[in-house]
Amino acid sequence: MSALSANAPARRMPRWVFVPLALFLGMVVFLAVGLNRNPQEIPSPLIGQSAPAFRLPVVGSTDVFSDAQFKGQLTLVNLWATWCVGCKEEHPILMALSRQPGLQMVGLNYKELQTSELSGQDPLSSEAVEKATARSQAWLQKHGQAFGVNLLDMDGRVGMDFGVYGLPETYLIDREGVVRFKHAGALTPEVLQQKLLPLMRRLQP
Amino acid sequence: MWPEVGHLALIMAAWVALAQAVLPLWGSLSARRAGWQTLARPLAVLQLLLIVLAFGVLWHAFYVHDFSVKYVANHSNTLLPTPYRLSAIWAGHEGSLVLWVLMLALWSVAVATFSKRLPQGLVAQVLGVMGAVSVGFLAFILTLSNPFARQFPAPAEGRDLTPLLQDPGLVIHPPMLYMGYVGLSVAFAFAMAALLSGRLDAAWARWARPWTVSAWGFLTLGIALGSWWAYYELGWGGWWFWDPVENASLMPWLVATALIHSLMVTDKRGQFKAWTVLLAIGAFSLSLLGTFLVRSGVLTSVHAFATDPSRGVFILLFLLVVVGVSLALFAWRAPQWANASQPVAGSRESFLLLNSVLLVVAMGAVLLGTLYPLIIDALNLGKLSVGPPYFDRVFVPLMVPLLLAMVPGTVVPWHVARWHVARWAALRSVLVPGGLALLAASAWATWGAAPQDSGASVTTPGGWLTVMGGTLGGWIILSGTWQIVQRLRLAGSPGLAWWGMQVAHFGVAVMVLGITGVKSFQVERDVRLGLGDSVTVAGVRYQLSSVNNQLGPNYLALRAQMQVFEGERQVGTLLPEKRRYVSSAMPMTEAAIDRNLWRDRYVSLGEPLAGEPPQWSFRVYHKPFVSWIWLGAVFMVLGGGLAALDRRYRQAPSFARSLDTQARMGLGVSGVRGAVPAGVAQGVSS
Repeated sequence: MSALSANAPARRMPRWVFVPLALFLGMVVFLAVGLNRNPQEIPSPLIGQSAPAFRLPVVGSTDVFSDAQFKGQLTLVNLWATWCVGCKEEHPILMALSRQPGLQMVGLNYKELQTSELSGQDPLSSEAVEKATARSQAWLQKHGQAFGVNLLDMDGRVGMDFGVYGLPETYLIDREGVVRFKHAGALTPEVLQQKLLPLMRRLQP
Repeated sequence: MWPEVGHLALIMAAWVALAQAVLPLWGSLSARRAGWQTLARPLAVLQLLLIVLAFGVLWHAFYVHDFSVKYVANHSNTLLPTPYRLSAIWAGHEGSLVLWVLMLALWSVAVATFSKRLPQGLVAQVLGVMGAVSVGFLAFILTLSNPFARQFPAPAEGRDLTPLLQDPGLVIHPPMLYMGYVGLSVAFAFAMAALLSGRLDAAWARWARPWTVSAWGFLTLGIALGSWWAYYELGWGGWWFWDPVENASLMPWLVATALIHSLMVTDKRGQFKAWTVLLAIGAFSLSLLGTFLVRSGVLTSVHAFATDPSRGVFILLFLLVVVGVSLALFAWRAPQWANASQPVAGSRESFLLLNSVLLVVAMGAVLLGTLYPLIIDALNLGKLSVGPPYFDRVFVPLMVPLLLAMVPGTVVPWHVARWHVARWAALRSVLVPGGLALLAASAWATWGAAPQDSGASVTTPGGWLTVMGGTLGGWIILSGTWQIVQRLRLAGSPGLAWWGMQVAHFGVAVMVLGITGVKSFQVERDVRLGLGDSVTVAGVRYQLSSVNNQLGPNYLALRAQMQVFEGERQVGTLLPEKRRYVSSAMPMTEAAIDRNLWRDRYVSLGEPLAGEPPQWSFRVYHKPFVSWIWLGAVFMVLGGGLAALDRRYRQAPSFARSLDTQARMGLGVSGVRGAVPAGVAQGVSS
């Protein structure tokens, strides 16, 4: 065969030999574009819509917080729980945000007691709420009071209305009560610098 | 101090790999430096020793809980049982890559050891190419994925190994899969050697065959283990989910399957040369693509690895260099191998061509489905996901003709010269088993369903899909048996490769029957049960007798006890668990399975339900023939192993005459030993 290749008359290259290379290069282009995208970033149908209506008691006080209180100031809603690992990771960023002037920080403690812990108990029973309150407050004591308002979503109904996908999740709600931004997963310095802060600057007059 | 030794060993291994990539290849291309070719073997051995040292150091760090090593702290803790502590080395990105290069070095040394009879130039080129691949991966480890990176102060306790990975199935699944992925680099290196030298003859194909078939065997085993693990660990009772990472392992497998068949044609007939080389490049490229897809985070998957964009960029560039260069070389060399002679319709090579084309089209379909969400996103057309319905709809119609071609493909002769003589014998050995299989499958479809349960949704009795799957599987088994019986009447041994083919094809048939059985006759029920309640599934009564807490080494479990009754007789107890690992909030399902050859009884424990008295949700399955899926894979692996051991592949080069001349002169296959299919030979002589 080697002898044959040495003596073979120079043939014009047929076009088909380039097909695999061309297909491959085409695929690489898509992969390269794909690298800059985040498949986890699922557009929330809530964006551009009013935040869902709800009323929840504020932890550690007798006040009640409702969606009406989104009006008039920029609000960051963070869905979290003490059992959520990513929440601990992102907490320093939330602490930094809590020092931003003109930003209302709302923590929504989502299903603090999970189904298995409740073992059949009603999540809204006073016993369960007491236990969750203690845990929630202790955690914030330890990691920092990032939230001006901390709410207990014991049965997860409010989280569900927000379309929670997995904890942690963060929403930015503008002065009209309209959801402008959603981030699923722990906040990172990049998300903060590239998305959240620029958006906040635009929304704050 | 040890982690620094490990790091140093990896750095030295990278330089040795670079030497292994450059010097022998240079020697093989330049007559003046021909002596450098002899460096290939010692360099491969040296590289292996250095990587083994690094691997050992990492292992030691896990064993002694050296949490100052960041990778150890992130994937292990003091509660972790020892076997999992040692397998945690491949639980994360960095350690997996070290395992990758270790496997690559092992394969290189295997090639260096078992290639004593191969021409010096070929060995130098093959090892050189493998060295180049190793350079790429070692550079990746050293620049972006250092497993020995330290952190000070060292944490007192590590995070845990993901609970998903704390399972015996997962201890061996990744190494087997990597052996397969990396093993395909040998076939790739052979292809590159052919492209570099322009020498591609039957002897080349013969030498490449055992390597390819071994890698294919490991890949088969790795995929099967993953599927088996998913079956009992995820608690959904499924065995294949068309997850992007599963697809990433299936694609190289499909192409490798095409390759082992195409190599046979190149070996026996001197045909399909360009195609074989392309498949060898394709199989390894898809392994690299799989690595990219898993590690770069471009796709969402249950196999979530923490991702880092710069890593994705590196792998993509590496992929671009490796695959781009090899495909450019291919474009340069392939025209001279373009076949003048087309395979004749009805000959064995025509069936093998069909096999290749169908497998590659199937791979293309899987690739398209896997990348489609990414393509749509890249074109700003939105976000979407491609699910099992697409894959089922596309994959099954491609597999049916593939399986149909399997029987005639093993029975009809090479070329066509003697086709008219053998026609009747071949037809008989194809049609008789086919008819019998059709009868058996129809009976199966009619009477195979499990007993109906009152109150349950009616399971459909087997339809035409059952008949089709049953016929295909039965046909392959019966025809194989027929061929073996015929062959045993002849004198002489057909060779291990022939036996390997029969065993592997038998495995395919067993798997097809398993898939058909479970798809046709599975019964599934979701129920809520309180203590003492029972549910009847497929005529078997499952009674919940207790639910209590169990304490494991590093987890708490909720364990249900279920008594299984056939009629009034208790036939067993199943203990499904729901585990909560101390260091992570994610609950894990441990399904309880009562297996035998004919069916699995599968119970998984769901969430406790609110209310008084307490109730729990359960999922109860009756899964007929499900073990056959993995049993089939075991036979395929055994077949691959047998074929790889065939002595014929290790004969001296002088023996392995080039078949080109014979093929060009239009001689039949009579001159080639062992090439006449047994069934036909018998049919002719009787």
